Amino acid sequence: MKPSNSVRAGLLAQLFWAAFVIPPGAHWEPRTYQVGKLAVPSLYWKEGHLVVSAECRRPDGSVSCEAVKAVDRVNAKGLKMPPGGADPGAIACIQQAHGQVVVARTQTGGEAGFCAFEDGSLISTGSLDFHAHRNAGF
Amino acid sequence: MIGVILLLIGPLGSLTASADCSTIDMRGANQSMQGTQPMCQGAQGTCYAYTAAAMADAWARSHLTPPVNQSALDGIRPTSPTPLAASTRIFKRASRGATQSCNNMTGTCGPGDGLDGGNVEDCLKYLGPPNNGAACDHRQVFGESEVSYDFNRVQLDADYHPGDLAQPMDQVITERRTRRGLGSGGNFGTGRTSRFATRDGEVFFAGRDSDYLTRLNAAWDSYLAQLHAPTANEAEVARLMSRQLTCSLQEVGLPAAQIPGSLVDNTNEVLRRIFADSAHGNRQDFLNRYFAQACQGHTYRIAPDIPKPTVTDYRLSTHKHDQAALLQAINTSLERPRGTPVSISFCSTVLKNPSRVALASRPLPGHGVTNGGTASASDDLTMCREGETHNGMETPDASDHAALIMGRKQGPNGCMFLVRNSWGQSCERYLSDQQGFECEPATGDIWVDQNTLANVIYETVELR
Repeated sequence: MKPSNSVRAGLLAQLFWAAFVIPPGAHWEPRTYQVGKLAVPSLYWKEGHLVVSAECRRPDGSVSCEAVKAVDRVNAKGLKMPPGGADPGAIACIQQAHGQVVVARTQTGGEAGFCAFEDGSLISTGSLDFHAHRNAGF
Repeated sequence: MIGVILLLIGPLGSLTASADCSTIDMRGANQSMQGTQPMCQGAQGTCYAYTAAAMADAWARSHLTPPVNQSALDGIRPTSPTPLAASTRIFKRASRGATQSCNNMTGTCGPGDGLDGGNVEDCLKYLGPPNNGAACDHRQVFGESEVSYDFNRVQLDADYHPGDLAQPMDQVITERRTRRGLGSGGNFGTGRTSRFATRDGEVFFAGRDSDYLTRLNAAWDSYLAQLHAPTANEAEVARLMSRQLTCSLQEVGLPAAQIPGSLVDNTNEVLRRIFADSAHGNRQDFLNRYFAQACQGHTYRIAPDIPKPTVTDYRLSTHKHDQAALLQAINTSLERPRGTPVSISFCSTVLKNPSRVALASRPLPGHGVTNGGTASASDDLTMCREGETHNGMETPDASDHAALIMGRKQGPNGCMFLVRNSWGQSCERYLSDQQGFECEPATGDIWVDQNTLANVIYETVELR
């Protein structure tokens, strides 16, 4: 049985799927979200389309945690989307990153989705959405 | 010569589609979306309920009698979408019968179905007359702790009990209206002033809505599986499921230390009772009962009355996808006095990669499309355009979605629409260098080139 065009495209994308690397000089902007009663200091790297909890940054300046590692595990080609326009990043969180979705409050009163991991780190579902599409090649 | 003619026709075509692109932003002072913020539906397929809830609230805000100082309403978003989704399912099942189609995407309306997929129109019909379904304060179920606020509204909730939302709402509402002398003023109207302070339940559910619903559904599945075991004891099964659910909640988001132990115990008992009560019910009834319990004390009726929603179909299969007519209809709606947002059903691909949509928006073979192009569409968009699914699942980048248009402005390449999505305040998800596309960092709202967006809109819903 021949693979379909979409499967072929997915395989092709996998070949060029470079691991996500955070350069040492990346500029991180501080942000704070509220998860329940808990204030969650976070970091935003605009060029990398990445929002992660602040504890991902280590004392030596490097950035590493389960949340950051999840970036390489998500791929829009493999997502099984339910009907009803769910946040693709939240679906990627559950199906591929194996995290748990939480909804945080922003400083301006809006809501923002996060994917939480066992080490306590979080990544925004927006970040997962972006990188799932990037990893899929579109 | 031909080139010159095309150069002349091009701008004229744009003018025909939208002659006026004066700035409209419903988030401005004394506008229907003032002070509102994007919400996040997470992994739940409830975009329709998020959209409908925002529309209903906007309608109430913009039609208050007498008008209320808008500054008093800043940041207030009363209607909780997930309970609305659950209540609408029950309502539609009751009105059309369990065997009728409730979901135009999956074609199912089984009592065991969850809340994924649905219609904005149905939710608005549930909230509006003659049904006048009860709405639930978002902050009660999934809201912030230690929130208190003052504003006038008519309270229906003092007499609500678990299961009320599953009762025929016309009876419930008629009874409540009679008792409380409703009929004018609306939910922000002339009723007594209420001050809500933190309650135990509010703290417990803070920040967990998406994952919590997932776990509620999973717990229900486990509950059913346990009941089918030969030695099942309904009360004991309910107790175990309740305990399992409560304990697993501690794994989500917050450390256990952040969850007061007494609240865990209290909620555990509530869930145990709901599970036990649901022994002869189904998943939708269970969710409805759960939210009725969680909303108790914070339910209300949207008022002034929501008008019957006006639905316009632009599907390719109905030969109605006339881009100029679609744009004119949306602009006309935006320009109405006391305007409220327009709901659009569309392919969310446009928010991720407009160039991909432009390619795929060419007409499908056999369909009468008026927006130009040649007959070669991608499989992904074909599925989105036609609202079809593959094995019950949509393709990843062509999801049928609902959102709001709540403004317009002149952009560098033409008129742009202001879109309020329900994926949270997260500009990082979008390509920042897309032409005809801007995400506002402060709000997460999105400006999209109107022609690009119109290519993938297949239905609009208005309140007017």
